[in-house]
Amino acid sequence: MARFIVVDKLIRSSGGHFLEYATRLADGFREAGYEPVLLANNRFKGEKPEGLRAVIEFDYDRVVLGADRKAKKIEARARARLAAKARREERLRLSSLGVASAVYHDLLRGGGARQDRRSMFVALFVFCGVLATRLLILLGLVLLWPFKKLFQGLGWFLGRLGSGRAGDWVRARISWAREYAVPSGQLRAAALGVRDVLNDPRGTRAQSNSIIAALDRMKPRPDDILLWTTVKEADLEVALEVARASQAGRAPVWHFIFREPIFLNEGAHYLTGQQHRGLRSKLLELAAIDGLRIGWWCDTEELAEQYSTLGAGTFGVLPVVMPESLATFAEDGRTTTPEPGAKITLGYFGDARPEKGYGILPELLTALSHRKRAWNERTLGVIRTTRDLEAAQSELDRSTVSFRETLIRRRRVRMAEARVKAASEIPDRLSGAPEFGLLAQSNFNVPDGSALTRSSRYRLLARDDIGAEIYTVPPASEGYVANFGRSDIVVLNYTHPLYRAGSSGVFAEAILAGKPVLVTDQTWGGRRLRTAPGYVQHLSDLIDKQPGIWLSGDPASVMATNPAWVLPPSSSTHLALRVHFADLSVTDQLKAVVNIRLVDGSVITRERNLCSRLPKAVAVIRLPEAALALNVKIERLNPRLTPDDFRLETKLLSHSPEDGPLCAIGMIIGDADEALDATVEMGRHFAHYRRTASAWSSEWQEEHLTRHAVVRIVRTSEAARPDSRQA
Amino acid sequence: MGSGVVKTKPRIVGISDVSIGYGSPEVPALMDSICRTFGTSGLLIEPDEISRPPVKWTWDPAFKLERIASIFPDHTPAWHRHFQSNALRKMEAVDPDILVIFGSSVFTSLMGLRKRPKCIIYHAYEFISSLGEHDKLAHEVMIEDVDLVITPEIERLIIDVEGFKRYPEKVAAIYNVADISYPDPVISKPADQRNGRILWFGTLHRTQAYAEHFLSPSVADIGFDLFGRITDPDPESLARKIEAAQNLRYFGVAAAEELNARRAEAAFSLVWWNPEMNAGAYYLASNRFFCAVQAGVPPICGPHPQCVDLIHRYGCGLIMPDWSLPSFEATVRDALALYKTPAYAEMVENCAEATRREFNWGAQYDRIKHQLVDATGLAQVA
Repeated sequence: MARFIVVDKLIRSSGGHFLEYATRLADGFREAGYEPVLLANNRFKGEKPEGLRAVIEFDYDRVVLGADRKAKKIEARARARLAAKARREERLRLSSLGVASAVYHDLLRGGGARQDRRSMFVALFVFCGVLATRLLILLGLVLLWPFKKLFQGLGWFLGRLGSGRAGDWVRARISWAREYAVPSGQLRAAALGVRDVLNDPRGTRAQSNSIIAALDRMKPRPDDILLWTTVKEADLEVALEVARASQAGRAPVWHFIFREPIFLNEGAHYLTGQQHRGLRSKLLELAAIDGLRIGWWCDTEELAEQYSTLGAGTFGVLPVVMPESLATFAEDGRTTTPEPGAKITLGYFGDARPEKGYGILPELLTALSHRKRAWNERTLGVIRTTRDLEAAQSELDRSTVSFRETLIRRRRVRMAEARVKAASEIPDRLSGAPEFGLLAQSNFNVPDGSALTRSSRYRLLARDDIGAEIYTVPPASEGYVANFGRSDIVVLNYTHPLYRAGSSGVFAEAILAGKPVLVTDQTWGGRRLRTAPGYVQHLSDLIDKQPGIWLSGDPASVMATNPAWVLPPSSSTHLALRVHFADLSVTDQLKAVVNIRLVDGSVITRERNLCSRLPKAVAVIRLPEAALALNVKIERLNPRLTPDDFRLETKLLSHSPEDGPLCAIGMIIGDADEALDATVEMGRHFAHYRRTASAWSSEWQEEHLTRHAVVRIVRTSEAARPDSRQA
Repeated sequence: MGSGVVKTKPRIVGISDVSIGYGSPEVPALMDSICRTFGTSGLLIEPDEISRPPVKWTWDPAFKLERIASIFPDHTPAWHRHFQSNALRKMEAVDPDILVIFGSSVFTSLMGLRKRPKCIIYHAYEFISSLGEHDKLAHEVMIEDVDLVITPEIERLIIDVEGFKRYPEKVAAIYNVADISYPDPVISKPADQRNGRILWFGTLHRTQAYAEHFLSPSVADIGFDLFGRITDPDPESLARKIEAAQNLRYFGVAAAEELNARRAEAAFSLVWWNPEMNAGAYYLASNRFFCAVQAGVPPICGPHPQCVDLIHRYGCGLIMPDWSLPSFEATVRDALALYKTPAYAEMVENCAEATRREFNWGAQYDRIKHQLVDATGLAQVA
């Protein structure tokens, strides 16, 4: 039976997504008739699944945590010493002697502890002891005084000596020796280099030796498949060592999956620079090894484009594989309608990291719990404005001397009436929204987390009264899937540029499970959502049917440096944008930058990417209630795009919750400020979002179920075999 | 961390930093609840404050209260040390399975213990960072070793732990909903049976609690009822001015029953603390807020974050824009304009709703009960 061999040094425990991913692939290959073998870290802890061999020597703590770990050990020792010292001192402090010492000091301050005879005697004893100690110290100082003077004199003499010609002569020779005769800097560098060679600080030698040994024992065959997962440049060094040293290891077809972006800018314009030289060299060296057959993969189209730019080979797309069990939740979404008003659970999955939006969760949940805020504001607003109205009316009732004065007073009354009306109509952002809860995975990826994730976790611990439930240990596979099942909306407010092209396993899992998502625009997930046919069609139809005002889409005006400000009517609630691309070969990308001036004079900015490989791209932005004016500017992210290549439509919509859902499948936000309104929108029309997300799941399954990944790898391997080449 | 596994009928000892029965009602409430949860009678050790004689319980708590008598003046270093020294001896004699520490200034006694109890619960209801260096050192050394830290305001705890860079893992939050009359319920009256006056119950201090606000001519036409001790550095002067003010009625430190009765008649209640004192004063977690809501007397609060959050959640009070006199005056006048309107009745009903759902001791204790049980490894009895 052919074997499917996974090499992953980061599989270190029975929980965690590295093993999860490898296991999914292993199950898929098992079904395809392969025998899976997982080469994992030799310090693997926990229950070993079938086929796992803990053979890779890689000290994660030393290599990855490295200096941090050493520093933490030093800190831990210092803390233990401090604790021991503090406890000894506290026991002394709370002993009879300590109490007496407090009494003694109290006496010195003229305190009133004179009534306790026992303590008085002990205090006297302490006083005598202190006095005796001080006298001894004084005696010591007196005896040592001559010696002190002697050393001071010697120091003066040496100082005089050093500042003269003799001192200069000595110093000059020392400097020369340091620079020319004793190259300490070079010696040190050489010593460090030798130490590095001996210690193998990055662990590459140990890794490669252990993998070589494992492969030599296994004796892989040409029809076997060897997969290196989550590869980085350092891993390619190891792979090169293995390929060079192990003839047996070169027999199977090798596949590498890369997941990290190598360009952080938006595509499709990538400029290879010196910083990519190392990676490209290694790719080329691997490809040049005689007899080695390789499949190159990335997990998103954007990443495949990036890596292909290096010119070392063509990279295919191998999407993150998902467990089929998640698809059953999508089936529920298609066939079951949630009860209106039922509590909605927001789900956060993955490590608690700032760049994954963990920090917004406490604020978001708190804001969602403020059900009476609008009522308070309206009630008090009406009280205040009614008082002003009464004052204006009583002023009107008083006699006046002039007709002009009467007109002014009448105007004041009308304005006061308008303010009363406005106060009574303060909108409730949470109206029609159900109750929300939160289920958040909250383990840190680094010990103790960061300041933001720590404080956010503490806040969530304290938010159990408004439905926050957190778990601090990453669950095993079944637990993870169960938590997915319990969540209704998955929150993915990812903010780091790494997520622009890199995939999000959680996003893929959410869509596979048919769960609506709240996703950040400038991420891979945001891109997938805004190009989803269901999303595009729904929003496009809304733009056409919803009452509103069309704005000018003249490219010259929207691409101007300072586009004109527009005053939206007070009934406007959203700004919608739709772009039609004339030439699909030159898409990617446009960005809409909308500046909104508020009544208090401040300006907020909302951005939306209008990127698509489809003929049409859409976006929608909610306007704050205090919006006074706005302008829209379009930026070209692809310099090859000209104004003739696209046509922009902009419309101010008047959309209320009663008009139905705004989007489909999920909501896209530009930054965390928009999260509240987007979440409420999905909560109000949850049945619709759930249904449309579940409908999209079927298409998603075509890409992401394990069996499709297996097919791609197997086909690539078969094509790479020498006999197939000859054929 | 402790072994966390406690045999049946655990020995429970609590140590309080204040004399019981005169404030901090959550201390006897929590001790009573913990003892009942595990079906045992505990021991609560209290210090000896001369102005607070031992209280006579009108109810039957599930713990014995023991006072460490002291001849030292209250709150002097000798008084503190004497209390902690003797409390430590008492604790070591009992050898508790569960030790409950109430208040940050007795946390240092943990350092003096020779043998670690199996389970340590720490109710950190004060702002630790405002304490002395010795107390902060004790927290730095010991707080990560605690099995469960309970706080009434998580923001305070975050500031504290970031200050001494120690991060306890098990943390829970409960609101300070226990009233001085615990376990008796707080009296409330229908919205149309109020006296139209505004209540203040708490310390009267010019700097800490803006006592001068009540004396301002701009609010001379508004009736205020004042309860509490005058702790101002110049108490006589403040007392004279309060006495002279026609719109003020001062009741001093009243018994719980009288306070309960007067509170129920008031139209509104006031809650604030000078936020410039320290961050803990800004992140106020005041019993008064919850007791006012329980009494159906909507609180008028300074914009302390917890008060703002809960008022936005339940619509049970009013929020001042800031702590200044003009804001106080404007908000009080808004409140009085609201009084006797349907909106006021709705606000009172919101207070009742908040009390039913959350602001009652049972609901708050339930938030931490399972964590207490997990921390001890013992099955609960009640």
